[in-house]
Amino acid sequence: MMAINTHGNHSVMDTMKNVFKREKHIAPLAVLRIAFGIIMFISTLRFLLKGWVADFYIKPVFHFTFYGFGWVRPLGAVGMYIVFAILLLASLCIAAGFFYRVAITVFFICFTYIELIDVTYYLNHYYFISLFSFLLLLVPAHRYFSLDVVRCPSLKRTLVPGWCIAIFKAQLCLIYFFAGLAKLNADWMLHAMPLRIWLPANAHLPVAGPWLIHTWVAYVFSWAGAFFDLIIGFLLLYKPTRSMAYLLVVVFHLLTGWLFKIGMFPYIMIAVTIIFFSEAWHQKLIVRLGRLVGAKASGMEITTRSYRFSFPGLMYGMLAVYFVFQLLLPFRYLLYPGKLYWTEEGYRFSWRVMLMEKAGTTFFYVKDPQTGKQGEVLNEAFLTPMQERMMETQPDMILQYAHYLHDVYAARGVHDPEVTVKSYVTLNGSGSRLYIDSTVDLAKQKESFFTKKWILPFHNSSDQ
Amino acid sequence: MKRITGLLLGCAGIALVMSVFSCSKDTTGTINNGSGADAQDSILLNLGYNIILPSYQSLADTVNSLDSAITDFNQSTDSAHLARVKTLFKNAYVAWQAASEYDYFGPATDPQSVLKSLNIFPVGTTQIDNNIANGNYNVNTAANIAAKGFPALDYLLFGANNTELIVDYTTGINASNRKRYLSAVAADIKTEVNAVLTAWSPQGGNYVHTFVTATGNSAASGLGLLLNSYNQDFEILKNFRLALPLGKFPIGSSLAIQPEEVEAFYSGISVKLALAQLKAVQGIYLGTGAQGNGLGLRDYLVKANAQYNGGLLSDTIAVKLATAVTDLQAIPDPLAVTIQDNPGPANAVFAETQKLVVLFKTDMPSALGVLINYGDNDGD
Repeated sequence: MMAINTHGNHSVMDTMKNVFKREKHIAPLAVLRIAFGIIMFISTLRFLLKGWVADFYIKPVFHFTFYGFGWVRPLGAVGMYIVFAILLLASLCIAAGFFYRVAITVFFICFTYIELIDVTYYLNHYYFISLFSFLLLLVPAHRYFSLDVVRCPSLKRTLVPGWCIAIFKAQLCLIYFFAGLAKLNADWMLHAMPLRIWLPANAHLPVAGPWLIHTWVAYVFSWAGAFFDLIIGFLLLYKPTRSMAYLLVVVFHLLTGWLFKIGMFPYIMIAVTIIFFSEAWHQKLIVRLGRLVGAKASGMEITTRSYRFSFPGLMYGMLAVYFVFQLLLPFRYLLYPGKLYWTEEGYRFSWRVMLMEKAGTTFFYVKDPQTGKQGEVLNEAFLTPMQERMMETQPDMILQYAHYLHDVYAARGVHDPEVTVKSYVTLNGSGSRLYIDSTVDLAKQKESFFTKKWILPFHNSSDQ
Repeated sequence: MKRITGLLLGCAGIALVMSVFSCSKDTTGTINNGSGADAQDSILLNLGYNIILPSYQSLADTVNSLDSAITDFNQSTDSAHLARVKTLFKNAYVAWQAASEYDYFGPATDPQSVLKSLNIFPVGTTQIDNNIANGNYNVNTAANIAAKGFPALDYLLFGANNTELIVDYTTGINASNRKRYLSAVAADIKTEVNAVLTAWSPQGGNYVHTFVTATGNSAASGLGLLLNSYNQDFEILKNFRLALPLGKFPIGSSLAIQPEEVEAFYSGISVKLALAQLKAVQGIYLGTGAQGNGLGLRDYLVKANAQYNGGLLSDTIAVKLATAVTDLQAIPDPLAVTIQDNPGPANAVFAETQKLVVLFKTDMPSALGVLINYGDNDGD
């Protein structure tokens, strides 16, 4: 996507046409489908085995919802486990290409539903999985090397329009590039924050550990990380550098996975970036996989059959809207005043990964306006430790919780209680400072896309 | 497939290069004694062997003395023996406070010996009276969580004046049942405390070794476990030893002072106990324990050069802890009476503990890259 900008306008159109409309072999799509299905099966199983379904979705009495999605509720114990069982089954069906269209659609809906239940557990890579499964449900990834083709051979196709593969490359390039752009700020580049805090904390690790205590190592990691994110998309797109680039992807993600607690993210990225390899590479891989499962050689057909979309114009329109949205969303923070890391207005859904060491403590006060009596809320009565921790550094969650407390104490007989907070937050080693205007009755503040005036400004003499 | 082979060779090459580098790194690490990895180990070593183990040893010693004094009292039930039991009870209760900072990890969380269950207050007096009356109970069960431990002894030994107590334990209704309950509660404390001490000791379960060798900053590391537990315990000082009796929590619309909610309501040693806890918190921070001065949590912050408000975080916490200790010391026991006559000083200490909660829960873990979570999740 990015590389074409180097050409003139005329040839841009030509290249776009070439990339999007020219027919490509379907093999990369089939391999991507298998890789995605397997890694999602492992992720879901791991989530279940860690007991997180109960911890995250069954035990909490209150859930933080996304603005506009307050109607999304958890289903209760049985319902939640059924949803996860469906995810497991759907992942396997996706990998095998068995009733693929149904499986990927169900996967997309169930996964996105789970992510919408509670903001607390928002992770960039969960957002990525939702997006990727959405893109996967648009393409005929099951029309080759799949149980659907075994079940119904007439489904088989060997060629797809180029865009079916290009959209995944584009999505991945966007993610890496935006992740790189997000690192180009004073905290990351000039102060090596937060790696300066995080790396020395890993000094006990074998091999690299003893080096991590040095500040210059944090600078090397910061600059190398930013450079990697900015350039890796281009290196993966450009054939001569592709193999080296994939090796870099593997090393980079394994290293971050080893140093930080980021779960499945590294493995998901390693699995899906194989889409950048050539058609021939994927065809050979499929021949090998075919031999493993005892299928007849299917990579070297002489006859070709093209897959044609019924309404290509509609598809192009939808994809155009999707990618314009993807391009603009990470820049929405520019519409808000103040320091982004501090206010977090426009922070999510922007591929800002591992950028902040942020922590807070928030005391909530409920006041009876009639008697003037005020008391401090014991947060543990309403929130799990993780919910409390995430809420304490994110103003929209602080507001939601304040509204919830208003309702709880109103139900307990306090007439229209006022809710105020004393909130302290530290950001990238700044030392804790007051975060929210402690005089504002949050029960009276409304959530909206407008800036939250009750967030106090971040005064940091060492930064700007 | 040549490319795959190439990739594998490349990976192997990188691994080789890294391991060569690592050899030189290891040497520099060993030569330089001031390195992070090294210092981290010695802080954990001091905390484990010079502070935590002696705290549990002292708790076990005082609890064992108390248990035998209660056995004596049950045999010769007189005011002299009662006085001795009362003194030893106070000693053991103080010792419990000095070990409560480790209540939330390791052996103290074993289902058979949950040490924090030995101090659930306010005590369930009705339940204790019922247990004594019907003589049918098992103290170490969830059902009796409010009828066991130190709060139960507090009620059983201080619930009436000495003369009445002697009568209760000699000629009163259910006198023998009462004696049996008293010794059952003491025996339960003794069993649980000794189980935890054994599990920590090098001669027993040697958990101290597990603790000091779990370096790093993950939730499962010694530092991660200790910081999380330390925070939870400190919040009990703020929330339950101070805020609750001071009427800081909104319960419906009534927010009056609740003196009956204090810890050790009957013996009236609430401040003494709170002070014992705060001093233990301070000791872990400064590294001072049974063996004198050593390395503590403060040294992690010094190493990380953590900043706070233009100064050093390590100094800020030390100063605020010292202030809180001084101000708490100035409050006279019994707290239940003090907060009704003059709640000002207790309110001031409450405000100081609130500031310390922020520093412990936000600044300290953030500066050290430790997650205060009490749970488990991925990040990205």
